Amino acid sequence: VTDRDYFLQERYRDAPPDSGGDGGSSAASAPFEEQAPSNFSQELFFLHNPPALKEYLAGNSRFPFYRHYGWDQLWKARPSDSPYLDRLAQIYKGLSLELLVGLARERGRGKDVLPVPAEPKARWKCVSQFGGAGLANAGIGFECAIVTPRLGIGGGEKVVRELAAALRELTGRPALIIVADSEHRGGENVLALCSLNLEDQPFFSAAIPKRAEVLRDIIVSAGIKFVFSINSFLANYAIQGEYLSDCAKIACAVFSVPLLASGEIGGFARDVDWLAPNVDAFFTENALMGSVLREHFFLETVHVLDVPEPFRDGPVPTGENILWASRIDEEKRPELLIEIAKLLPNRNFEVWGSPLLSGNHYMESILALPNVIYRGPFSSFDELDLREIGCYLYTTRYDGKPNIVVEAMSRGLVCVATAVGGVPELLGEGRGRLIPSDAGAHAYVSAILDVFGSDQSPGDGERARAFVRAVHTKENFRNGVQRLLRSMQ
Amino acid sequence: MKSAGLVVNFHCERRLGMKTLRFVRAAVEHLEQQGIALHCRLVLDRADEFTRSAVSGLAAGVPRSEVLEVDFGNLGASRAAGVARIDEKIVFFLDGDDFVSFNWFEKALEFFRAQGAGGEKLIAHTQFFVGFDKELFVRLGVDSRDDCFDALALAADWFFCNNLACHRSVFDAVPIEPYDHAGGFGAEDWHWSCETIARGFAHCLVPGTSYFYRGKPAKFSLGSAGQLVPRRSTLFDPPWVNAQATLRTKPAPRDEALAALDAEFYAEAERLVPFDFGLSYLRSLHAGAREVYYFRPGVPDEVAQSVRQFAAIDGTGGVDIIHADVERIPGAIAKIDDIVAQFGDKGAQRPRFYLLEGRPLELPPDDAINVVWLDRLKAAGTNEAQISRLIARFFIQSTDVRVFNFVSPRKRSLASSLAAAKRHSISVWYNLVLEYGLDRFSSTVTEVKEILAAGIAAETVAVFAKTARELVTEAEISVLHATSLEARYVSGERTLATETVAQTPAPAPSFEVHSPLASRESVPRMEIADEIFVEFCGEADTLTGTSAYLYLILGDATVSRETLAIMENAALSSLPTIAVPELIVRKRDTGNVYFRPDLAQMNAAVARGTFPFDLLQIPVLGFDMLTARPVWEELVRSNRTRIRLARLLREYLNPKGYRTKANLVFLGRNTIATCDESDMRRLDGARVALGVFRTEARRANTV
Repeated sequence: VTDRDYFLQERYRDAPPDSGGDGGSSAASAPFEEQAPSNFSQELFFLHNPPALKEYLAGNSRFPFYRHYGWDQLWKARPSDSPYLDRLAQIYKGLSLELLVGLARERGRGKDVLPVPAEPKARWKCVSQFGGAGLANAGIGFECAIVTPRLGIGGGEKVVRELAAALRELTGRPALIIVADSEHRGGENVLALCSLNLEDQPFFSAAIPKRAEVLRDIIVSAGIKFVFSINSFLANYAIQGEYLSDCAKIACAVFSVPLLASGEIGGFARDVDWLAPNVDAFFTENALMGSVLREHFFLETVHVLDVPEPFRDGPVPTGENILWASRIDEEKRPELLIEIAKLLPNRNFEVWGSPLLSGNHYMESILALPNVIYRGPFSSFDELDLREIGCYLYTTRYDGKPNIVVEAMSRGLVCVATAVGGVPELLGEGRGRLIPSDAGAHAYVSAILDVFGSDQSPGDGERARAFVRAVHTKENFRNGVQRLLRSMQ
Repeated sequence: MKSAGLVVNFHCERRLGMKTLRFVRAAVEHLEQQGIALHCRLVLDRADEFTRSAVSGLAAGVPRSEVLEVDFGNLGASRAAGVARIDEKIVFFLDGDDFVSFNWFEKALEFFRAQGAGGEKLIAHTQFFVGFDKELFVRLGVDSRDDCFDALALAADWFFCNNLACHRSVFDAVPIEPYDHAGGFGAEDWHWSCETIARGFAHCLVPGTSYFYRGKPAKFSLGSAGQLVPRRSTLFDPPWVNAQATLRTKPAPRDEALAALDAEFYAEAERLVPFDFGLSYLRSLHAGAREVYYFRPGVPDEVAQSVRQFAAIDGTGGVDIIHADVERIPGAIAKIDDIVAQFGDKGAQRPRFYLLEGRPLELPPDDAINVVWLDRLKAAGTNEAQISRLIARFFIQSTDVRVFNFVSPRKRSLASSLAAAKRHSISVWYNLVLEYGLDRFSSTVTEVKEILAAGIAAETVAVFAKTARELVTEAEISVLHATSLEARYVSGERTLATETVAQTPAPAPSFEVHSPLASRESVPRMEIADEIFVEFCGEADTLTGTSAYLYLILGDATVSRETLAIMENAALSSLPTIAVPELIVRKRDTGNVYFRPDLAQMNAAVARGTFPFDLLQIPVLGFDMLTARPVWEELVRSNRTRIRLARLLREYLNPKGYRTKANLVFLGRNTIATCDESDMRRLDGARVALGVFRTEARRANTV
């Protein structure tokens, strides 16, 4: 018994028998008012449109609802003819028409597997493969993984590389470096998550919880026992969301308390409270941050690692120019450089670096200064020509222990820098000139003049170099990493 | 020296509690300099070891503090326990991970001093309620004495939290009642504010003060839980409501007229930044570098009107609450009345209260029936959560409710929301299905199943026999149908629009029960246990039957009817074979994901000797019986009930005695399996994959 026959038999027993129909193809002749498809209902249709009922009972229309209301959206006589299904088949190449019709049958049984036509924004994806198993298939035995947002130049990346080297030395196995938050080409023991295809789309197009699941699956399937998160948004998201809790011991790096221009504290320092319950140990590279982690966040297991810096012999630079080398971004306060350069018109400033986060709006002002020589971007301190340099100027608003200052010190260069984060640990005790964080350009100018006017400056440079040589050694770092590893076990 | 008591509640705040306690110590020291002695009662309610140890340790540094340990698991009860230990006249509350502005204590004490004896009827709150950490907002407080405020608005939303100060005697007059999450009742502060207002107390604001509320994931909170409303309150009982006939006398002020946050607000917030960096976001707000949701809580007048309307009916002998979408019901209210009249309760006339969506062709006068038009509430600005709470309030304040839920085929109603709180008063619940058959777009099955899943023992009545049969098949529930009801419905419908049907009680229809088949021929099946093991379901002799495959079905994953038939009748394979559906539908809130297993890729991986990881993304796997049976027989012989999935997979990926490895095939043409994320989470694919590799590695080393 078909639905229609039942309808006729049970409800309209006095109605004439079915005499065929037109398949609902004469929409143009329909005398009925327009109605939205979502209002469609067989019962209502007949109750509110008696002529349609008559038409139906007379056998002139087999599917009156579709004919009158769902002409271009709902199924017609044969589901496979439906423009709606056709449209879905066009949009979602992975689904054959037959499968779509199969899904439509499920929808007809009350199972919510097809979006209704009234939900044009329903998200559909055709998935052919999931990523994340490549490492396990490769059969490489990793024990440690370092998750980093990127792997280019910079202090954070230096920590990643040094940590990987130390872990290899300590465990006898390579550490897997996972680049989680930016494009990267990968490489030996480097897995760039951007190379994964997740749900038939690029990794970075997937929802963040999905990405976190993939990260967790990689760590589990590769047999990783120790995870080190170094400024990675994804790893820290996964840690907070307890994605990694059951699969590995976790260490998390926090290097600084970032201060926005408004004074708001940003960065991962804001997340420490939610990271802490799922982290076995925190580590940083400066003692001040270590004390913040212990005293402000009440963390017990905090390690301060001195990132190694190669010793460089040679004379202390004694040129007449001032070096300013950094990202030309708002947090480094290039506006302060501009102001200082204006106050010291007789002194040349050699500026290295390029904007990364703040756009180009400082560049014009910098290039306009007659006593500024813009040298362009650099990828390593070794690229900087120090022959004319006698002082390194670092004007940042906040920082951890800035690697570039350590590099300058290792070359015996006298540094004038803002006393934020771990900078006083580097330049204190006569190893450079510290400027209070709330001081203006005049304070920097005085310090610079003092550097060039004082007989003590070469001694400052030597002390700085000796400090780096004594503290920032591979041995110190390896021992620190060893303590960190032990505390995670 | 002036004095006051402070109750601070802790549960599992861990380090966050230490931050708050450090602030408390600073506040106590600051107040001491002002000549005020603050006596702290630090209440640990089922605290974890970390929190207990931390609070106990830091409490030693807080003058005049006492640590109390209680075992309620209930914020309301633990607050009451703290109050019981306070001897001071004025009591303050603070949650163990929040902060208040330093000036709050001084200003509140000054406020009560200025009020004199009248202060005993007042409950003071901070002017601002400020979210930080995971939720950023600034909420302006409300004074319950304000002409703009209608207390019945508390039926739909929360206005007064426990960031309060009041005379100790208030708690003697109106004790804090513990919440009852299991019973569907939460928000003890909301309930307490209802009770205090009903008993003549007023909630008022102390200007220039702020409470800083830490937004956090729900799992960290003891007091908050979804799907909860305050318990029954005197405030909404007919005697109180009917005695307060007037609506608020002034319109609610608009949010855009809110005064700018002043220097005192920011200065007080700044003093707290050293205690929690998260509060520094207010610096950006101050500098204009960030915007934040700054609002005054409120609900439209229609909410209070609805409460008054409900209170006006005489529900002492029970009430019938009717949910319906009148646009879906031919004959609208007249037809509803006609059907409800068929469910006569021994001739008793019970008042009916209608909760209606849509607009009927002919609208009865507002005073003709007791109706709340949900569309009007929405149009006035009431959000869905507020409407759900308002509806729940009608149930909570009643004792004997019959529900007639006319299920709309197109729109899921709010009937099932807050079910735990509603069900205490429900005597009968009927889902009435008027559709003639379930068409392709019907949401009826979904709603009916939702109501049953919410724990409501509802009867589902289908007017048409055809619909009853289809519902039984699709929802797999028992469905009632009465021929007399169908006949009455069909015969009367042609005149429904104009004819008023008399509300004459009639004998209950004689229902026949359409029940789902007791058992459907099922396939031999395995389930996942502890994420990496598989267990056999059912009788062992199923394994010796004729089925070609042993199926692993994750969680509540389902297969289409056609797929099930194919699974039952699949042909036996002579080679190790794993069969998968041709299409997997993963249901997600944000839209379904359609996953077509790439057989070629997976078979290539098997041939290479690597693991086809996609296999573990499929919720239904068929393992050919010839290969599976010996594995299970060995398991039975060793008296074990489960096996690692990795071990089972190894039998297929690297089978003994076969030259070729497992072949991955489709179960059949157009085979479809549906699952959701929770089904897939039953299986830890990464650990299974790791297990396979380790086994392989061990085997390779042995060789």
